Amino acid sequence: MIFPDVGALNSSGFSPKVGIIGSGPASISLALQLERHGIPSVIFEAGGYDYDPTVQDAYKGHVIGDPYFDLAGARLRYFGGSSGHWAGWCRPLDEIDFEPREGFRNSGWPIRKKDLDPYIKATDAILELEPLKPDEPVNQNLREIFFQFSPPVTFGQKYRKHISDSCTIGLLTYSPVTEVVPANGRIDHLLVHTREGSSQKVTLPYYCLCAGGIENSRLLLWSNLKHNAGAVPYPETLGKYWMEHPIFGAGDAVIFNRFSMSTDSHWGMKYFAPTSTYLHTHNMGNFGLRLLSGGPIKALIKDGLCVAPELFGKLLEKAGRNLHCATTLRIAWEQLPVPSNRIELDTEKDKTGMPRTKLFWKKQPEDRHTVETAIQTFGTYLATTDQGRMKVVEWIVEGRDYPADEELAGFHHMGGTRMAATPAHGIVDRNCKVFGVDNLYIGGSSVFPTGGHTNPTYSIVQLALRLGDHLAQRIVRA
Amino acid sequence: MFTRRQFILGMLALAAATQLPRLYNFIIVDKRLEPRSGWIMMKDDK
Repeated sequence: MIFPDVGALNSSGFSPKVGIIGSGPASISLALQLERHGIPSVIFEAGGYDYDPTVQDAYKGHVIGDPYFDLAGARLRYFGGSSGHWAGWCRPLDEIDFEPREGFRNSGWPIRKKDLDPYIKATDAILELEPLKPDEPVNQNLREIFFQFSPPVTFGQKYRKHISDSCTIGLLTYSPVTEVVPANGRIDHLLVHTREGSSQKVTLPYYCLCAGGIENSRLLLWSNLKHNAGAVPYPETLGKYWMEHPIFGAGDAVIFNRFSMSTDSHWGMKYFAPTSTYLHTHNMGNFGLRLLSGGPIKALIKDGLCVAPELFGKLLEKAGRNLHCATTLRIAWEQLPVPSNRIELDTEKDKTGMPRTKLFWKKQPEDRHTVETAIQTFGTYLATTDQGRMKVVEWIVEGRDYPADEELAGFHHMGGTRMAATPAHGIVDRNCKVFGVDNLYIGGSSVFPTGGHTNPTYSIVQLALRLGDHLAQRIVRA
Repeated sequence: MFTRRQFILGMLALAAATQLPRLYNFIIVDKRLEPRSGWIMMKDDK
């Protein structure tokens, strides 16, 4: 059901139980799950059905710290959200990603992988994925891992007709929510900014923020500022522990037997990750190594001639026979969650009157430890098994700062409203409900207390489906 | 104040000290291996 505006919704006779803010993968997955339970919901999308620069303008912000992307382009503000420009990489979080790890500060979720596993089949269906191939052990330190690749599903295109035809999912476009307004330990109503510049109230039994890994924090920080911390009564960690997946080239390797480098058919890559035993003993973040076959094999061997003329001389003789290959090694890793990486409100405001985002983001010494240890571990594996030799990139070898002209990160916005066992450590509980507020929930990767190394969309959908079940049970009980 | 020899030795020591963090950065834990110009090599690689 499409409603042209709040007035039409309020006078329609449609009585949604849940108001969902945002229309990306978390939001639509949640609405679909509620629909399966027969629970009506309504989605508030800030934009229309396509990219609109005047709407997108609300995502402009400032980044303080390490080089990062222009925030205005890092997310999409229209129906379907950022699924409109994702590449389709999928993989659930590892079991260890949920566990508290000694030596990796602020780690540990109040739920475990087994809590999300029941949603694997439904998530695969939504994202149109083949089942995930199981990991293959390599040695005590490493395992070969696999990804699933969505076509990619753009939620706006895939679900527009379904939602338009649905009797239980309502949708309002060009309806940015600018405040969640509290009263007596609950959210009383939302304020929706109209195209004419006024605000309209929407009152519903339950609300769920699925606006994105920055926007969820921005909206709650602003609502708290306006309403004396009533929207988030325990705001100690609000906006904090924000994370990304840093991604950098880390080296090149000569692989002695190119046939051992069989890669996936999608991106032509091979992937490695640490074992949980390894992570528990190395005080570091999780990481994913991506080996991309190809590259200037002869140049690499010639470089190797300077350090081991005999070994590389033999390789040079065979280089023309295509028996070995070069591989470029890239690494994506789990960033240490720290409170200093955070979202704050800027003094400048967007057109709806909401303060813009100020993002503080800096990689920590522990992040450097993760990338350096990971690279050494893989280089050691190649050499000691005599599968190849690796040359580490200069900025790591020479202890220089991260290069600014690199991939930098994965556009994965995580944290800010982290899930925790107690309000002292996070914003939402194990059911994604905001601590101290009876009817406010949060969906999306802003609830991640730690981020693992894998792309977050898969886990976002799993969490949204689980949240749908929880809300449905609660509503039915009530 | 300093002899020419002391000055040169001092400069060399200073240069080595400023390089120290960089060299230290790339210590390889596995005793069978060693770093060579950025490569992770077996010690007996010739």
